[in-house]
Amino acid sequence: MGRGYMGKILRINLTEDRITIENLDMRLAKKFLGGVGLASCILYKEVPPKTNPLGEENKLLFFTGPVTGTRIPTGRYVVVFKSPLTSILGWSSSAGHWGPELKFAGYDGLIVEGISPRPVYLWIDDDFVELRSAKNIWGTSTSETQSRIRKELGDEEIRVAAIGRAGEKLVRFASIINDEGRAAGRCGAGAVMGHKRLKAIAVRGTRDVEVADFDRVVQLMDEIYRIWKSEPFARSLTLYGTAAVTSFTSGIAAFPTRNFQSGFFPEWEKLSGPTLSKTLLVKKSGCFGCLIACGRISRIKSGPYKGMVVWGPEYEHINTLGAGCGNPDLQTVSICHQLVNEYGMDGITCGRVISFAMECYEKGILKREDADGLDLSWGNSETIIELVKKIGEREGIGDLLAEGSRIAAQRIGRGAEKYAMQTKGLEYAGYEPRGMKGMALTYAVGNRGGCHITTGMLYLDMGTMTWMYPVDSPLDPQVLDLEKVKAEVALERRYTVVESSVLCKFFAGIVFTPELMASILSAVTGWEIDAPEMDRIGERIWTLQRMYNVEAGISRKDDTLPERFFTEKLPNGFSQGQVIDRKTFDEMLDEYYRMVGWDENGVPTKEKVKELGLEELVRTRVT
Amino acid sequence: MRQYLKIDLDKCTGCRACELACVESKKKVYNPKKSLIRVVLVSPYFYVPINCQFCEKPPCVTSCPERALEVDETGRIRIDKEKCIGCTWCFNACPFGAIVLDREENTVRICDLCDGEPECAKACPTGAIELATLEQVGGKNRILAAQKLISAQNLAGEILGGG
Repeated sequence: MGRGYMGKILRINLTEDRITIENLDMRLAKKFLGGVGLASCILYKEVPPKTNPLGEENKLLFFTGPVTGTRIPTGRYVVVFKSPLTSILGWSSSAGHWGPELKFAGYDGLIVEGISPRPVYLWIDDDFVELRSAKNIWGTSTSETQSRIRKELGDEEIRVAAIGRAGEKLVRFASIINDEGRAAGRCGAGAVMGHKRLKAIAVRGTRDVEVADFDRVVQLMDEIYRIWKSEPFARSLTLYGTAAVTSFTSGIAAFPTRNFQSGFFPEWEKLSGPTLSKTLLVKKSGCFGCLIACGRISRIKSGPYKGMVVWGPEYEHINTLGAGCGNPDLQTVSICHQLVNEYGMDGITCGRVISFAMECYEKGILKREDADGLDLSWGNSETIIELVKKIGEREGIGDLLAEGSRIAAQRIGRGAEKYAMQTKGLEYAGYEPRGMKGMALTYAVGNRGGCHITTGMLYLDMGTMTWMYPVDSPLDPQVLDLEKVKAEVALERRYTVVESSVLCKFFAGIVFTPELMASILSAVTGWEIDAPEMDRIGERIWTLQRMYNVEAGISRKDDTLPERFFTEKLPNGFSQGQVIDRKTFDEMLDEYYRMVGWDENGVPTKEKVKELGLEELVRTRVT
Repeated sequence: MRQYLKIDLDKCTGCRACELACVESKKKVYNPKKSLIRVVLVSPYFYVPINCQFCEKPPCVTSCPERALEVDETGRIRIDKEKCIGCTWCFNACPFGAIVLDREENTVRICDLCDGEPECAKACPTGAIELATLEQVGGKNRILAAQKLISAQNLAGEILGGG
C-alpha cells in the first residue's frame, strides 16, 4: 500500500461476533487524513448525534494516522465515540506503543460496534483476528488485565489496551489504558467499551509501514533532531516530565487551586517537577520513537502504599488531585494517579469531581452524612484516596460522582451547579482561564468540551512557545483579544491535523512549525500538502465535528464558562484581581464565529460547509 | 579490535528510536520486528535494549548446518547469503534472541554495528547506546574505581586543597 496507510479497516460487530475487513476509502483519507479526522467523519456517518452514548448504536473507533508507526515522533492512536460524559462527540488519544502496533498488524483503524452477550477481549495477530472470552479477567485492574492477557497468549511483547473496573461499572469518565500506564483518558471511552463488554484489545503486528518519499522522511528526521536539541521547553519536559508545567502556571498564578477558588497555591513547590525528581521518581519513560520522553515512573516511599509503582504523576493529575483539592502532598497525588490508572478512569475529571464535592461540603451543600461519613475538608489526603476508590467502584457517594460534575450537580441541586467546573460536561484541566485568558476561549469553543489541549493556547499563555503558531513576542496571558482569537483559530486547525496524523501534541506542538508538519504529511502520503492546505484539512475536520455537536443540540449557549470566571476575581498571586469581562468574552466569541464562518448562534454557515467540501456529508439544514 | 554496544540501562527510556533507526537504515521501511536491536520491557519499569553481543564462542556460528556464519577479524558475525538457507537453527541457538529472519531474502540477519557507525546509537535521544571496545569500557571503569578509591582514602585532599 505504502504512502503511510495500510489500506485496511477492521470492523468488529460484538453482537454477532462478526469480524470483517474493509478497504480504507482513500478519497476520505485525503480529505480527513486519519486519526481523529477520519474517525470523526465515520462517526458522523454511522452514529446519529442523538444516539444514547450507552446504547447499542454507539461505536468505538480506534484510529491511527498516516504518520503513526513511522520514525516521526511520536506515534499515537485516537479513539472516537459519542461521549457518555458530555453527550456530544467524544475523543481521546493515547501514546505508548499500542497505536503503532495496530498499524504494524496491518490496519489503519478498528470500528467496534454492538454489544457482546458476555465479556470478551479482542485478539489481533496480523491477519488472525478473534474474540476471546474475558470471563477470567473481568473485574481485574488495567495492569492485571494487560499482564494476564500477555500470559494467556504466551508473548510478553504483545501490546494491550484495556479497561479497568471503572469502565466495567460505566463510570462516565472511564478511560482506556495501554502499555502499563498510558491513557486514552478523556470523555469516557472506557465506559463505552465497558458497556460493550469489551475488556481489552490485544495486538501483535509484524508488517511494514511504508512512506511515499522515504529519503525525504529521513531528511526531515534530521531536521527534527536539530530543532529538538535546541528547544528549551522540550528540554524541561525531558528533565521534569509534564510536572515541569507546575512552575510555569504557578508563576503566573494560573494553577487552579481548591476548585478554581484561586490560581495560586502557596505550597506549589511541593508539587513541582524538581520536587518529583528529587523524591519519588525512579525512571523516565518514552513513548514510541519519542525524543523527549516526558513519561515518569515513580515509587511510593512510605505508608500503606509503600512500594507501589506509579506511571506518573503527570501535571494534570498533580493539579486536579493536588492543588485542585487543596492537597500539597505529591505522594498522595501519585497514589491517586496509579489508582485512577488501575481503575481505568480519567484523572482530570476524577480530581475535578472530588474538588467539586469538597467545595459543596465547604459551602454546606453536601453534609458529612451525604458523603458516607467522610470529612471532605480541603487537602484531606485520606478522603481524596478514599473518594477515588469509591468512584472507581461506584460505591456510596462515588456512585453520584461517577456521573461527572455536571450531572452530579444537577442531581444534588441546591445551587451545586455553580461549582461544577466544566464546559459542555467536560471538566477543565490545570490552567486557570482568568490568569490565562486565551484558555477561556479554548475551553469555551472546544469540540470535546472544556479541554486544554485541542489547541496549543496553553503554551502561548504560559509564555513558553508553540512552533505551530510562532509569535514575535510573548502574548500577555491576562488579555483576551483579537490576537488570541486568531491564535485559537489557527491552533485548533493545526492541532486537529496533529491528532489526525496521529502525532503527539507535546512533541509536534513544541518542535514542528506548520511548514514542517506539512512537509512531513507530504513526504509520508505523497500528496502535495502545504501549510495552507494543512490548515484547510484541519478546518474541515473541526467544522464537521461542530456539525455533529450542533445536531446533538449544541449552540452558542454552550460555548461558555461557569459564572465564577466572570464574577469572582482571583484573590492572590500574579493574577490577583483578574476576572473575565463578559462583554469582551462575548465580543471575542462573535469574532471567533466570524473567523471560522459560523453564524452568530455558532452554527457553520451553508457557504462554509460548501467551501470545505462537506455538503455531501452534512445532513442538517444550515443557515 | 572487538567492539560492541555498551548500554546504559538507567538512561534508556524504552522509546525504541533505536529500533526505528535500525530498520530505516537497513530495510528502508518502518517495522520494529525487523530491527537488529530490540528493546525489552521487563515489568514493572526496566527497559533493556538487546542486540548481538559478538560472543567469543558464538553459538549461532557453531549451530549453522550450512557453515554460512563466521566471525570476522572485528568479532562481527558475517553471513554468507548464498549459503544461508534460512533454517533458523542459529536463531534458536542465540541466547539473546538477537537474530532476525529476513522473509524477503530468506536468510537470517545479525547486527553488524553498521560497520562501525551504528545508527541506533546515533538515534538514541539520551545517549544510552554507545559503541565501545572492551578496552575502552574497562579503562573507563578502572578510572572510576581508582577515583573512588582516592576519594575514600582522602588522598586528594592535600593536593586539591580539600576540594
